[in-house]
Amino acid sequence: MPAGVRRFLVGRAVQCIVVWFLIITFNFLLFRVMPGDPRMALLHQNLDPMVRQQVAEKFGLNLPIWDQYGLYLLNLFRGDWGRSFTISANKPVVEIVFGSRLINTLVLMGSSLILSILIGMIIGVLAASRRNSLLDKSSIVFFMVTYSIPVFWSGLLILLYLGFYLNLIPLAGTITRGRQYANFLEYAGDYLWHMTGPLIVLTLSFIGSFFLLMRDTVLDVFTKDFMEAARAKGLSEKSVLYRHAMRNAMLPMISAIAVDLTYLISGATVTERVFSWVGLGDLTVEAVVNADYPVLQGIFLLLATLVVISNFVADVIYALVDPRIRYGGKGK
Amino acid sequence: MKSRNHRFRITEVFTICLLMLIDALIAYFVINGMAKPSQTALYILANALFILWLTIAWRGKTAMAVSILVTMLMIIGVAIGLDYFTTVIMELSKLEFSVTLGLRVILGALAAISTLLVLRKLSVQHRKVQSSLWVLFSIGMGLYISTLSFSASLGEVFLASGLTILVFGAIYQRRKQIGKALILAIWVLTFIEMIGVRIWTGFPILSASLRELIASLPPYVYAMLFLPALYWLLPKIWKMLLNSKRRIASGWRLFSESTMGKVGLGIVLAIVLMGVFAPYLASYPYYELNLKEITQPPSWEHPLGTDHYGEDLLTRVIWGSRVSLLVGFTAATLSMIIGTLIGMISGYYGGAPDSILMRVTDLFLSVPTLPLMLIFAALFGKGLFNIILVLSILGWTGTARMVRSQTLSLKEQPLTEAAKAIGATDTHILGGHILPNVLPLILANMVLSIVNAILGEAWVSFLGFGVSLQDPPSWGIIL
Repeated sequence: MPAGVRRFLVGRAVQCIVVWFLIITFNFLLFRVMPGDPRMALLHQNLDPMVRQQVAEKFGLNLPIWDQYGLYLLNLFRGDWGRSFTISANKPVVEIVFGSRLINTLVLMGSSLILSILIGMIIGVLAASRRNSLLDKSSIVFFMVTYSIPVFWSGLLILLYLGFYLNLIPLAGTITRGRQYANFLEYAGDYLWHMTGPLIVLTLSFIGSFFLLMRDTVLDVFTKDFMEAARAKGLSEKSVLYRHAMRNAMLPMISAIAVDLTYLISGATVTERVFSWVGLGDLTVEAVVNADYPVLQGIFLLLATLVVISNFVADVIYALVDPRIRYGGKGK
Repeated sequence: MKSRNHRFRITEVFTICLLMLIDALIAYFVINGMAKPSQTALYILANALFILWLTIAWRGKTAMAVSILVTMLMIIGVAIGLDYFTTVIMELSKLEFSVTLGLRVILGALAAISTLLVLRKLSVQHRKVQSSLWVLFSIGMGLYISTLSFSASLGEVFLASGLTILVFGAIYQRRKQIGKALILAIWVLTFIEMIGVRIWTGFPILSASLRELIASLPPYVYAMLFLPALYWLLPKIWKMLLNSKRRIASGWRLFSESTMGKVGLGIVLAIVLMGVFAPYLASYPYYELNLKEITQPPSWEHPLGTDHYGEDLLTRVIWGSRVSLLVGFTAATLSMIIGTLIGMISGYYGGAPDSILMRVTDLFLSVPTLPLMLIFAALFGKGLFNIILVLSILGWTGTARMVRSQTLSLKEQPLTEAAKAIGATDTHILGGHILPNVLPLILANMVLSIVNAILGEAWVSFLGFGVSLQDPPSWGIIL
């Protein structure tokens, strides 16, 4: 690993850690500064003052804010993220957040991300290579439309037509309730069947941006000299397209994926709600309804951490893949 | 100061009169107990437009004309305010009717006399006019403070006119710095009010009674937080647009060649008009429930059918364009302002401010948007204003990044060096040289962020945490 790259990566890592600490602090302050006063949810108004005092002491709510912050950090790293106000009798937040819901969300988000990247990339390259053809024009129009449709609307439509009228996909949930599974394959099949709807919706909404980006960068790459050189070498058009044009167009894609991740999380939140997919997004909405602040805090921290990490990973890949980059070095 | 021999054109005079009439009418309605959020906003907007227009029409040529106008405005405000004040006193002190009437007449006469004096002085000596304006302004502010305990809406009106005057001071007086400092002071004060009362319930500085008082203010008062920025930026933007008239003309020619662009503009205009004329276009009130006709398919009476409360969907869509556009434009503008300020400061000054601001930007960039919006909704509560606030708090990061990089490159260019060589201050360089150069980028970005804001509102409303059900509907809530 060249020194420039290493210095760049160390710098980025430090930055990410700083941002992560900022997020933790933000997460701490957010729930103490806001008007709703979460304490009131726990300490009921009509409670006996003595009891209230005791509860406040027990949770450290009578301490000065600096001490509270210290305690918060300490507990955070010890894995004590508080207990839910509502869900199943004060279950610890860590168990709720890191349970099957996280897996469900990750599976949904990951597969739709991969699908949309693959489809978007392939069609993008094809459209760019046949510029102004029927394929190019129609796919632009189609993906612009899917890109601008809000997820909840397409979700409702798909649920209505595919699920309700045609009975092709189930209406809600991640698995059929109460069904016994003979083996893992059967379970996986049922799971995938339930995932079809949300997957289609999420993928459709994300193909657009990847497709447009891919098409534009490939068109840009076509104008570069090394493409001429590759053709002059006598390489076939296919090999020129996929080995040279596409690889060079991958770079902007990597950063785009990292940036789009926050949107993906938002999209997944709504989609999960529409399809009653038992994931983190669904949990967020429930927690907001129930004013379940510890759970909200946990989800928020988890998602933000996910974004920070993925940004860092994108940087690492970027630095490794693109040999031209010598970050932090003085010039070329 | 010698008069500068500027002859008014008849159209100019006419326009001023018209604008004044509108302003007076709106002020009247606002004060006469019909104050709704929309009307107050309209009043403030009218004032802003007013000042804006003046800035354009008499660029530095006749500060006199401006003084006349603002004086008139103040006088209308003060007179109505005095009137209202006496009414309140009458009710409180149980004075006899004739006494009160006398008081009111005296006060009215005083107002009229001061108007005349001001107008006469205006033609004699310019600077004294300014100082008398300041006196009038202090009266207004005094009234604002004293009437706060009786009526919040009056206070708002005075705050608005106070801001107008302050801006007048900032733009037209030699004492620019004082004007700016005052604007800043009001801004900070209002901000403290907001933090102290709305957010930080245990705020120690304000006394309990004052806190209660402020808490009773309706939330849209805080929209004024952002007014100074609006006042500051708009005239400059407009001036710049005027200066680049020719460029805009050629741009328009280029634009009108593209069919897509024209179609898009048509659609946007149609939707805006739909929102503006919603009460006349919609055939039913948006809140009308008709339980006999629920979930009807489209028919002649209900072109888009009805929902499960029997509300006419076409009506709700038309009304929804209002809320959605309002949210989109306000949130986008606010986030643009925040982003531009932060971007310019961090790009221009570099060093510690830069790294601090950029880490904050990173923080907001890596925060997942929708969950945070939901958290805000849970903590702040529902409502149009809260949604706008949340969207603008979350939407500024992209602009800040972009403006920062642009500022960085502009900073190195000869124009900045030349300006520094003349002895221009940092504020002048930022506002006069860098901002105009960044502006096209910002405006282009704003279009995108309007879209994002409208969609964001729809997302939150769809999940049920947006605008409350009793308010006019937004597109998101209809879904």
